[in-house]
Amino acid sequence: MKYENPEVDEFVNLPSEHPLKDFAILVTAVGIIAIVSFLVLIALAEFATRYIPFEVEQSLFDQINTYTPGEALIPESSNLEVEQYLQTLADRFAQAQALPKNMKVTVHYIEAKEINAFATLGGHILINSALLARCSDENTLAMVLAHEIAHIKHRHPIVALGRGFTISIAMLSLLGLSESQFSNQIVGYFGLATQLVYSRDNEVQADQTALETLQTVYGHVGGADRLFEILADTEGKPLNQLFSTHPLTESRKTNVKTFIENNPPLQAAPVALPFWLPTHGGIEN
Amino acid sequence: MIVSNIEFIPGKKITKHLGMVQGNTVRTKHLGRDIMAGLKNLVGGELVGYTELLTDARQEATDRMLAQAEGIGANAVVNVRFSTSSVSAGAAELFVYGTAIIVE
Amino acid sequence: MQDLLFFLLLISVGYVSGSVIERRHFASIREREAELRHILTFSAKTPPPEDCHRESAFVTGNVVISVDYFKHITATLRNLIGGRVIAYETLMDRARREAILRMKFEARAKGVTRIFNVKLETSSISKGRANQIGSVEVLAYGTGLI
Repeated sequence: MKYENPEVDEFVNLPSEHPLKDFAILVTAVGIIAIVSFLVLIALAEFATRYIPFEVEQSLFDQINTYTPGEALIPESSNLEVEQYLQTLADRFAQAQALPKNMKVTVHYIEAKEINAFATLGGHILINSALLARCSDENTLAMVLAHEIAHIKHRHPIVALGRGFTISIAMLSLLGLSESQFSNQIVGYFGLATQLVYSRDNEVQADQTALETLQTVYGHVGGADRLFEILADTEGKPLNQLFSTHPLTESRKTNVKTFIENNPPLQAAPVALPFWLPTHGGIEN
Repeated sequence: MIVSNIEFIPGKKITKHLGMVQGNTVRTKHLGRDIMAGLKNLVGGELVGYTELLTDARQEATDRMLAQAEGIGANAVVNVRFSTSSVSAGAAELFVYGTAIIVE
Repeated sequence: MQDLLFFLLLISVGYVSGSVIERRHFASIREREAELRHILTFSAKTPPPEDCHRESAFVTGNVVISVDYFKHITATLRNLIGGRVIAYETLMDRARREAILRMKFEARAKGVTRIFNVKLETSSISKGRANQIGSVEVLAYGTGLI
């Protein structure tokens, strides 16, 4: 019996593709699948959540605000007089925007150090003392209020809630298949990016409606660029802005310019704020 | 005790078959080996600690099988096969079995 | 953002060290295969009749090789899409050839030149969590004829 042991070609069993190229293709494929599924789900969610009645939103808010242990979503008011003034302004703008009869806007005023204003479920809007202090005239304040009321009008809070919820559920089910925690994070980042784009669309829409409201009530949109100056001062570097839900302040300013070109002001004088309001740099009455 | 994994012992004649013998052991790793494994899981390479662990475990299982064979009076074990299965997280069962015979 | 960077760092470390270790291992495997080429292995159960007078010795060789982080992530992404996990193919090939080489080493020490009924057993060793492949063990065993 003759025995021989020739060397076999080992490369038959070894892969010919480079592992990095394989990895790149995988990440791209997973990314595309994740983004497409998220977009489809978001579209469905946004379509469906608009049918939730406003009354349900209001009761949802009441539940969250009362029963969250520790912090309520919106704490007790800091100054009832200021709040009443803001409420009167808000009601004016709500009427100008033709807000449906059953949707009531409630304004809250809180003391705080960092400027903030938001609209949440059930028509509740919060403006804090830091932002109010930076408003030099009624028009700037009007832009803030009108913007938040526009969010309420377009049902953005409930739509955003539905969207976030859908994405969370989608991610949990998709990622239940994968075992690694970090693999989950890759898919998570795709989900976040998709979510951000849609939030920005909402903000742009709210800006547009707010500008229209200002034009109707005052005849000009003077306060808008002053507001964006204030925001630009306090916001961080552009890189941080990329990951926040608000569109870049620069693009918001550009939108105002475009709006002014299309809707020339009927008059230009800013309206002064009441003298007893706690602000800095107010126009003397 | 002669051990073989083919069906007979080359050069010897089987005079008696004494049936199947088995040896098994369940082993788990201890903390020292675990730490290195965590790091190696990041960079890759051979886990020497585990290799030694499994070699020792297999040796023990084989010794038990041979002890069983000796106990029934055999002097060789043929058709030896191994089997490894994971019993729970971090523990593995090593199982060796074969046919005990008497050869001359 | 920080998490993402840390994650990318881990993957790069895993890829670089993994591919260096793998290259070196393959070079060492080829060298030893050339050295031990004179020891023949057969998967046949029965040795040919003219060899049946020789002494026999039972020989084994085993090795446990761990995956690196890059291979692990590639495999989990593959889990979502399906297809060949090429990162693991090199791993399995290395482990098998290493196990057979170690068996041949033991054979050489015992004076064996032909090993019959060579069998290979592969098992995965997970590190705690049930579905994670932490490392793979390959055992090669056979009956050697002196």
